[in-house]
Amino acid sequence: MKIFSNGSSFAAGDYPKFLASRLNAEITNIAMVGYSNRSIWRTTIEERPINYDLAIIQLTSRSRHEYHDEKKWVEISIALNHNRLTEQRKKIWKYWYENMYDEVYGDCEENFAIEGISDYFANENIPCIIVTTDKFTKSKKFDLNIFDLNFPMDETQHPTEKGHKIIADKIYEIAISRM
Amino acid sequence: MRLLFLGCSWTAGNELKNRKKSRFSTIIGKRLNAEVINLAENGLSNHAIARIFLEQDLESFDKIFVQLTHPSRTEWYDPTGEFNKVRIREKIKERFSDRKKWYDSQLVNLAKNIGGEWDRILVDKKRFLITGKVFEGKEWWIWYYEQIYTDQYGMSEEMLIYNLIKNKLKRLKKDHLILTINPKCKMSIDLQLNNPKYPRAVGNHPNEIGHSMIAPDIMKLL
Repeated sequence: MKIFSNGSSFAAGDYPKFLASRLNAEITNIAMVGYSNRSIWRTTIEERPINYDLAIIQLTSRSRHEYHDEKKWVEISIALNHNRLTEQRKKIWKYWYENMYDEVYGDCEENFAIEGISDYFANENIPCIIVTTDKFTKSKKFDLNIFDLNFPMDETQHPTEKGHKIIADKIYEIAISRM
Repeated sequence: MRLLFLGCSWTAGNELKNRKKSRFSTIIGKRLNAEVINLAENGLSNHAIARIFLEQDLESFDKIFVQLTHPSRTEWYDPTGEFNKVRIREKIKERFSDRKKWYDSQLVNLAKNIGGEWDRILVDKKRFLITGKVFEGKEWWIWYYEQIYTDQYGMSEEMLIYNLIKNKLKRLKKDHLILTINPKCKMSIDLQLNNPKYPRAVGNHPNEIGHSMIAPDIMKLL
């Protein structure tokens, strides 16, 4: 069995590995810390995963974004702490968050990612589970909001090892019900 | 039979004397004896076209035609709708000083009805960059195109929107065609509309003959 995983910092942690272990599966995990919904959608489509038995995609905070600085993709969040952000670009993005970003825009980007990812995997006949770490999303299209689970977190506000196991167990339940 | 058309000014039929009668969607609808829903609008970005696409009851259409546009265009959501007033003020100042009274009255009407609205941003048309969001003495969207936007971003947006639309229609098993006006489009599109063989009006949109030539070229692909 082969599993494809993508997402931001939660998925870059250990729950995909624990899930693969429970399903006795090989895992390809391309999740990266800081990814936005757009980054997760883009890298999934660019990767063109085929011949997998299951895809687990973790979407993230709607307010995150990304841009390309002609060398690399740069992830943007309200914290504006990416090391490739120049002072000038940091100010430009700060203005965006303070004066122009609206939840309606974030909802739209989130919906694009959900629809774009779920249709891709449906056409490849790969069951796909889409979860989120956006506590306040209004979308009803997710299979799971990770923050609906009760799990321990560390000082960086990410799941501890036990937390990752709790998340993996819940996704395992959903996966079994789909397969 | 019901046909859905989405796109920007090219599909909307800008510069035609009677756009609803002469645009290629109407010609195709007549030939197929079909009801045509054309939701194309001037200045829409690929982002807007995809957003409007996902808002439709796609199952209710028999054939769907999506025209993609220049990838540098974008949109943002203004919860106040204030950009409308700013744009009209700009028009008064720059272009319509002789009709100031009429535009002032429009401003009053707008103020009554103002609400959240998606705003289209076009880098090649100055008035579509003006929103009243000024950062360090310059419109924010000018900063965006100078400091943030790159061709790589535009190409990735085009790739994502193309795949979003293509995969949705494939999943729904809907007959469809994807067209473009971006001459550098790298996606596997069905028809390039930005082709010199289609005659143009002064503003570079296809003229009446152009639309009457595009329609049979699309029909050949059905």
